[in-house]
Amino acid sequence: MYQAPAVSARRYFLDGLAQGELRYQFDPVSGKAVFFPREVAPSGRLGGLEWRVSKGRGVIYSFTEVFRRDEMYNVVLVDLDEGFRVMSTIPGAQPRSLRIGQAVQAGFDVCAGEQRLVFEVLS
Amino acid sequence: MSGLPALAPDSSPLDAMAMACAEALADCHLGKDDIDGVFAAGLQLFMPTLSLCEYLDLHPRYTDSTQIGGGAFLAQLNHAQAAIAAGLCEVALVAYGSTQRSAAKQFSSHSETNPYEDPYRFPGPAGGYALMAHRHMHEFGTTRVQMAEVAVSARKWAQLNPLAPDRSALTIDDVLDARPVCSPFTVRDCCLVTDGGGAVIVASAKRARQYKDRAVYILGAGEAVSHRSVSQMPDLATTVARESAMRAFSQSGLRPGDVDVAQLYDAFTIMPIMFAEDLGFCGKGEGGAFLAGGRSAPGGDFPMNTSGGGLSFGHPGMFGIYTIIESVQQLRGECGARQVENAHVGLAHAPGGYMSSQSTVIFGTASAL
Repeated sequence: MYQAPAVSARRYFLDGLAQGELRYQFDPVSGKAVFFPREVAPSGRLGGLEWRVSKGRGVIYSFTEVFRRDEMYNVVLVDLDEGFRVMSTIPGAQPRSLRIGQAVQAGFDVCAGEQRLVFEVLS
Repeated sequence: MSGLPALAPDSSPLDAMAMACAEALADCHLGKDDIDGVFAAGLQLFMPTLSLCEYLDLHPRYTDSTQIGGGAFLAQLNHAQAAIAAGLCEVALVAYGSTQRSAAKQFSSHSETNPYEDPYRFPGPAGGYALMAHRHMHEFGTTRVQMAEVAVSARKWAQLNPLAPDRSALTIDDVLDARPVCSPFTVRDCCLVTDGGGAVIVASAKRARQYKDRAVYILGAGEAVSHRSVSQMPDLATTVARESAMRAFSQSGLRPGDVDVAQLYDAFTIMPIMFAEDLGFCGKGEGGAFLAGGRSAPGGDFPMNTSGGGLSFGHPGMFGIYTIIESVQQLRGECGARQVENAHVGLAHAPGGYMSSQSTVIFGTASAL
C-alpha cells in the first residue's frame, strides 16, 4: 500500500513562503510546472513531482479591483515565467493603474499572521 | 486506499482522494485518459467531482456527486452501472477522501477554504467572473457598453414577467453608473440576490403519453468539466461550454440555428456573451456585438433569458432549475406577454462554480421530435 509522505506538499510550500521562497512543482513526464502543490502528478502517478524555486518574474494575466465600503483592493492572476499561474495581490498599486500584460515581481508580506506571496509592478 | 489513519499535516482531502485514485489506476492498468465518468463524495469539499477533476486534470463527460451520507459510494456505483449501460460513459472513477482527523473536522460550506486564494480576500463569484470579464475585454475588445446591454435586455424581458421583482426601466447609463462591485462590474452587472425554489418531474415519453399536449421532450443533453477554482481555469476568456453543447447538439441531431429560444445562465453580464460564443450562436469573440442592438431583447431574433434571467428575474444562488422551467413554459406556450412566437426548440445552458462545469439541455415540442 502507498505510504503517504511525512511532509505534505502544502506544508513544504508554506515553509518556502516563510523563508521568502516561491516553491512550485515540476512534472518531468509532461515537462510542465504544476501549481497548486499536490501529492499526485496530473498524469495520475504517485509522487514523481520535483520541487523547484521560482525566480518570481511574471506578467498580469487578469485582475479586478474590489470595492468595499471604506476600501478598495485588487486581486490578480499572475502567470510566472516558469509556466504556472497564481492568485495574488499588488498592495502598492494605484487605483485603475493595473493592466493585463504588465510585468511583475514576487515579494512577500504578512497577512493575518501568515507570510503570503504578493507582487509589485515593474516599471 | 490511502493515508490511513492520518496524512501529514496540512494535507487536503483531495490529496487523500487523489492518492487512492492513483493506486486504483495502477492496479487496473487502465490509463487515466480512459476515465470518462467521475463520481465522488466527501464531507469537506463542496463540489468534490470538480475538485478531483481539477487535481488530476480529468475532463469526464459524465459526473455524479450524490451525497446521501456514508453509503453514497454504493449509490454512486448503482448510478455508474446505469450510466455505463445507457452509454453515457464507459469507464467510471468512484472516489472518496478525508482529512477529518488531521484537519480537525472541517465542514464544507459555500465558502470552502482555498489556501491559495483566501489570503487575498478573493470575493467569490463576483471576483471570479470579473477576472474573466477583464480577460475577455483584453482578448476580444468586448466593451462595458456591450455588457451593460445584456442587463438592459434582461430587464426588458422582466418587464413582461409578472413574477419579476423590479420592472422599472433600465438604461445602459444606469448600469455603467451603478455602484462598482469588482471591476469591471457594477451592481447592475450582477444578478439579483433572492430566495427561491424550483422543481421538475421527468418521465419516459411512453409514460408521459397521456399528457402529450403539455409534454416537452428532452432532445439532447451534454456535460463538461474543466476545473474547480478560477486560478486553475486554463483560459479565462473561453469555456468548455463548447463541449457540453456539442454533446447536446449531437444527441439531438440539431444545430444552434435550430434553437428558437435560449436560456443562457446570467449571474453576471459577461456570461451570456461568453456562452453565445462557446455554444456556437456566434463566432468566438463576437458575443458582445451579437447580443447588442436588441438582438436578445423582446422582438429581437435571438430571444434569450426570457423570464428576465438571473439579472432581473431572480437568483437564489443556483439558477439552473429556472433555465429548465422557462424553457418548458415557453415551449408549452404559457408565457403570456413574454411568449416567443412559434417556439418549438429551446436550449438551456448553465455553468457551475467559476465556469468550472458546463451543462446544456435541448428541449423540443412534439413537433420537434
